[in-house]
Amino acid sequence: MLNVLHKWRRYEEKIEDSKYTILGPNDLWQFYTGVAGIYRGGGNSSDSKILRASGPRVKDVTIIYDPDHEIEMVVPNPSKGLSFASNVEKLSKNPIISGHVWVLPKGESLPEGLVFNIKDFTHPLLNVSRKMSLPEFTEKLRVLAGKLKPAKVKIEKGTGRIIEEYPGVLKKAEAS
Amino acid sequence: MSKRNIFLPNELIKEISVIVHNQGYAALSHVFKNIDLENAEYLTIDESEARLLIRLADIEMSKAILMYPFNDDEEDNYNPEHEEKYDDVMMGVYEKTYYYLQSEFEELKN
Repeated sequence: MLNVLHKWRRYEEKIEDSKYTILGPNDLWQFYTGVAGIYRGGGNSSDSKILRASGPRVKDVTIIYDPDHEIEMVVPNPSKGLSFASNVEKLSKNPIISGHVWVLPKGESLPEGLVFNIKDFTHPLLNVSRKMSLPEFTEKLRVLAGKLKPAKVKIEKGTGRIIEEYPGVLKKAEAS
Repeated sequence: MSKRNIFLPNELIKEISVIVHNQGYAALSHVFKNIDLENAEYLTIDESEARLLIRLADIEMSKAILMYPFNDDEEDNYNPEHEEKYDDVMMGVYEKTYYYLQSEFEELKN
């Protein structure tokens, strides 16, 4: 934990300057040291649900129609992104993100073209690092979804109670 | 209380504005007066107004819990349509409103 705080202090000034720090595939785990992974809440028992049947939410990413190529493009926007969390507790209160928790395990790489925008250390936002077509973005999310693993933890709807698949599963993950 | 310019995605501002209008939330209607809804990406609000917007987000989430109870794929009465609609609220207006307001009003994290 001290290591995490130390790293965070070093990056705070950078965040103060630009408001958001952008972390790509090469620097993600240099920033998020001392954590077991980056968590995504709101999943179900078989799927993290970062990919939706109806496509990405416009509240998550900026989608612009490119008339030249007649295709919708996702463009970088450091203030937006799909919400993740640096720890499970973050998902359990203010706001409560119920459902199964999935995790991008520490050391696992992000697909090229994806980044985390970070203003709040505990709340990284997944977005694109370059303009790409909506189908390409969807494919990147599909690849990322394949890297996410069940955290074996569920957040109870309405209460935010953390339900572990077996006692101590969170501590075990943090220790590994 | 001092006002601050708070970034929110335009789509979120539009959605909240529609809720405020349709529900007749007089406590918040002034926040959306005189803004260009098609392009606005900032709301000028103070902490008390931010708390009202959080209350609105909580109400939307409570409604989703009541309207889409069969959203859990581990329950016998699971309904994928409920799951998608529930998620749209939880990961949409609920979670995003909290995120952007808490980003500027640290007091709202407690």
